[in-house]
Amino acid sequence: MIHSVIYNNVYLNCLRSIYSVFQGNEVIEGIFLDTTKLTFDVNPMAFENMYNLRLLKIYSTHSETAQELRLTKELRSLPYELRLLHWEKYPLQSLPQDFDTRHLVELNMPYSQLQSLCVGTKVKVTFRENRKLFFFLVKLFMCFVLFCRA
Amino acid sequence: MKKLTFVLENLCRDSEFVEKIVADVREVLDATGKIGIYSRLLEIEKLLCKQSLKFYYLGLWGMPGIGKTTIAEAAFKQMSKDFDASFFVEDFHKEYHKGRPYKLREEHLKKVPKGGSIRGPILSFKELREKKVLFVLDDVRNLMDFESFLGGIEGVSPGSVIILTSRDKQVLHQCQVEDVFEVPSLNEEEAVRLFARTAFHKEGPSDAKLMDVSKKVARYAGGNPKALCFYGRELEKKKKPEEMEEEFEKMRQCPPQEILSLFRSSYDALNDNERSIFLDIACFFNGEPCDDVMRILEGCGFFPHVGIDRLAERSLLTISKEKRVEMQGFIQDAAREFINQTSRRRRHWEPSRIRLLLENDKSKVGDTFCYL
Repeated sequence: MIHSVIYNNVYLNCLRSIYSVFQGNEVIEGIFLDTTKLTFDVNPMAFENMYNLRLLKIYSTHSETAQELRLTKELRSLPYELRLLHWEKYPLQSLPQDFDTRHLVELNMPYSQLQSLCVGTKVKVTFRENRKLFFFLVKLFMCFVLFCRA
Repeated sequence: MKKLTFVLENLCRDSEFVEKIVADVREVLDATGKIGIYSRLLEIEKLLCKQSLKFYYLGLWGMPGIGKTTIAEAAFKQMSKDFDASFFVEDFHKEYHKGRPYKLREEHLKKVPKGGSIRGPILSFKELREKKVLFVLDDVRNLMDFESFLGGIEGVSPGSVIILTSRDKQVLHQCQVEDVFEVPSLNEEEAVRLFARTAFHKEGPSDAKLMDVSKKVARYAGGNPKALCFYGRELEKKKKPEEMEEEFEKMRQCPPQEILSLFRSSYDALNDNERSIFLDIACFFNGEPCDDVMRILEGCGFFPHVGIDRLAERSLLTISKEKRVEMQGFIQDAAREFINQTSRRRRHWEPSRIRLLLENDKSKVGDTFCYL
């Protein structure tokens, strides 16, 4: 049962990425959305294949009638190439865990629920360091084995 | 009979005031004439008077449709009788690249009116030594063409004038013009009058509602006479203000070919970097503070300090006094239409399309499975 779920998951993710490539999501460089007249649930995986997204702005020209975009689950990811991230009334308390902010030039999150910013990057840093340490130990062990054999 | 009223403002010098009166009276006398042309001609005359002892190059610069050619033509018509030889090359860039660059010169030289000190047909610039000449080259797009066309012109008498018109200020500087006259756009009053003339065949809109529509169009077209005339002709058939507004909205959403073709060649001449900056500004940053836009575009790896200046020189945008990047409404919509014409869109600004991209649609492939 678990196997089939995992298989389904992989399979459907695959389908999704093919679908998004078909849509041409990976060429998108900028999205500016005025939420004055509409609101909807954002797909947590919406930004998954937008590898080239540089500019993302979700705003409202009339603040009194403004609505927020709903996010029922945490965003899975935000693009690595993002330079401008402006999201008015961002409904969640944190940005995606692995969001890499190194290219970011401007971050505006007015009226948002955001509480922590650096969590994502910190987690990533520690993860990286752990991984380095792990590989270092593996290498040391291999050397030791080779040395013993010789 | 039309009444003209003039108010002498404190800041205005008497001589300027008299000039304004003269320009306005000339315009009234010439009822079918082009709106605002005399005040612009006056500016050119002033520039020419200052330089009467030199071989003088003057550049007229402005966006497509602003009336560079019209003004150059009017200036030519008015002044050519004061010169020994004169000719006007319309659409210089197009004519030159038809494949007969050398013939073009001969053809125009042949047309030089005889009389005064000139006898018989002229075949080369050599024969123009010691003569006072006036040449107008309309729509010059690069230095090489200009140089090869006018190569060998020397020894003409002082007071000779060459007028170049171009939509690119850099080209004018390369051609070493002494002054660049930026052809100003029509002010709101002039723009409304021109629009009313083409749309309603009157000197002004007859009621308040029509006035509103006219002002809206005038603002959108940014005082560009060609665009105003075009919108006027298109809206001429609509009688009610509501219909007019609807039709106008339709043209904004989907700019007609005539408007697109005004900017097509300027757009095609941009390099990749300038094009990205141009499209980013058209889609996202119109009216934003210049420094903010520069910072973001710099972060994107473009070179906005050079790029934005070049776009301003090509008269595709302006930097306002408050240091904001500003693009006329109809240029912005033309740029967006260029994006719409590409098969895969890189920039999105329409809420309905973005919704399709980002919405969590349960009916789509397996969201339920993804998060088990």
